[in-house]
Amino acid sequence: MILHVDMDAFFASVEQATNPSLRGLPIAVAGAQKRTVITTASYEARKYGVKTGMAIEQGLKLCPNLKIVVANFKKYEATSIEIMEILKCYGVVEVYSVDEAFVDIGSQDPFKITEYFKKDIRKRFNITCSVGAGENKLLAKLASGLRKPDGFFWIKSISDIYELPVGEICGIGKRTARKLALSGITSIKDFVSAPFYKIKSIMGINGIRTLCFLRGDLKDYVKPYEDKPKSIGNSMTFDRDLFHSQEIYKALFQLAEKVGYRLRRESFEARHLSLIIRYKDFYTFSLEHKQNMAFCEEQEIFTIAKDLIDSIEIEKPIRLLGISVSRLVPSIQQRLFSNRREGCYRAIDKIREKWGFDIITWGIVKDKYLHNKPISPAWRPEKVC
Amino acid sequence: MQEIRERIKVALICDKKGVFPVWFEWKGERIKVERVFYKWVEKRGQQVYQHYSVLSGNVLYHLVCHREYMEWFLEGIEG
Repeated sequence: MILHVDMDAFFASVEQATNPSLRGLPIAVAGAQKRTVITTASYEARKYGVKTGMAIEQGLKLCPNLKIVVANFKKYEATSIEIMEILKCYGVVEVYSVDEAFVDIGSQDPFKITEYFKKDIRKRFNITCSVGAGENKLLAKLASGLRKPDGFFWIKSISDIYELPVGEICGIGKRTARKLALSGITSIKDFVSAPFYKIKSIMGINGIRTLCFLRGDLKDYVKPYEDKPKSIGNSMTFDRDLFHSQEIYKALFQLAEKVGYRLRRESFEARHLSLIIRYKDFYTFSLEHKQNMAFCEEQEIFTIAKDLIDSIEIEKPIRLLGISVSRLVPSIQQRLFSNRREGCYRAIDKIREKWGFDIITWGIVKDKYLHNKPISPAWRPEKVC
Repeated sequence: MQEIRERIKVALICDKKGVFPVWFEWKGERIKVERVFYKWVEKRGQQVYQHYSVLSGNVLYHLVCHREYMEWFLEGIEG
């Protein structure tokens, strides 16, 4: 039996637990920058229509009493790590994101187990979670969304959810749901009774997989370990749009620095770089570079990114820049660094390992743009002693 | 939350559940911790910082302790 544990309005709940004066109030957690959007809204705020991804001004229009709280991602990470440790007492845990996890509880009673850990989490943090139970991860995730907040739902048989719209299934978005509807598939019952060829023609092989999971023909496992990363990236939304090349280069170097450090920490080198650019009007595009020689130094990453941006004409002020590296290969110690800079990189990495990333930086970015980076969906806990 | 970031002197209780502040001195005044609302750990490199959100009167204080050196700071105040 697999449980899917989803923390209710996690960031907002942590803020309300931390600060008693926020309890019962409509609050929205947002980044530290002026132009960020609402990351999480408390259930009190959701009643007014405030949603994740909404601009702060829009949220305030819907709910004038909305209290905006600046996100403290370190606090959420630390809380998440402790919650995952609590869950580990009850089964094998796969951390799905900062506020979601799958727990394989074997043949234990899901009602009782859920009751136990909900009590533990509430006692320790005064926050709640919604839990779904099912034979596989897809069913468990589907179930947890059906009783929010602080609920529990067990899909014992697929017939329990026959009447639900097909869009409720994880992995079926609005566009796919529309395509399915055109073929007469609107409910989960329609979906599971549809022939394979029909689903494959609309959704491809992923559709077949989803169908098999729903029918119970396919088993999956909770993975307590992490898969090797396929890419490493960082992006920044700026407080004000950038247009001058010097400030763009500075931002690029700052991104390169972070990506380079993460690559070396994971003992990888990359052979592909994507530079993501978002203009003021939200028009977003990426520029790609591939090379056979693997790289992991920020100077190399910066040079590639700079060449890419220099190859185009910047038409409008830039709102966001991102660097993502992929085609990762394990680093070979001998060519990890170009010799001249080897000692320098080793020293910097050692200092950062001991004192944290921000303790040291390169002269070019000494007055760097401070960025309260949100938690990425790929977040996984780092062991805290 | 108003940022303070000042070093402070703190009296503690250590028990099975961990280390908890009982009172702290700030601006020559002894402030009694009535309730620890929340605590969390932050890791910067190998440095571990223990954060506490504590209440005294109607004021919420954010205290931070550097675990290795046992240095305490008043990070911020609200209320």
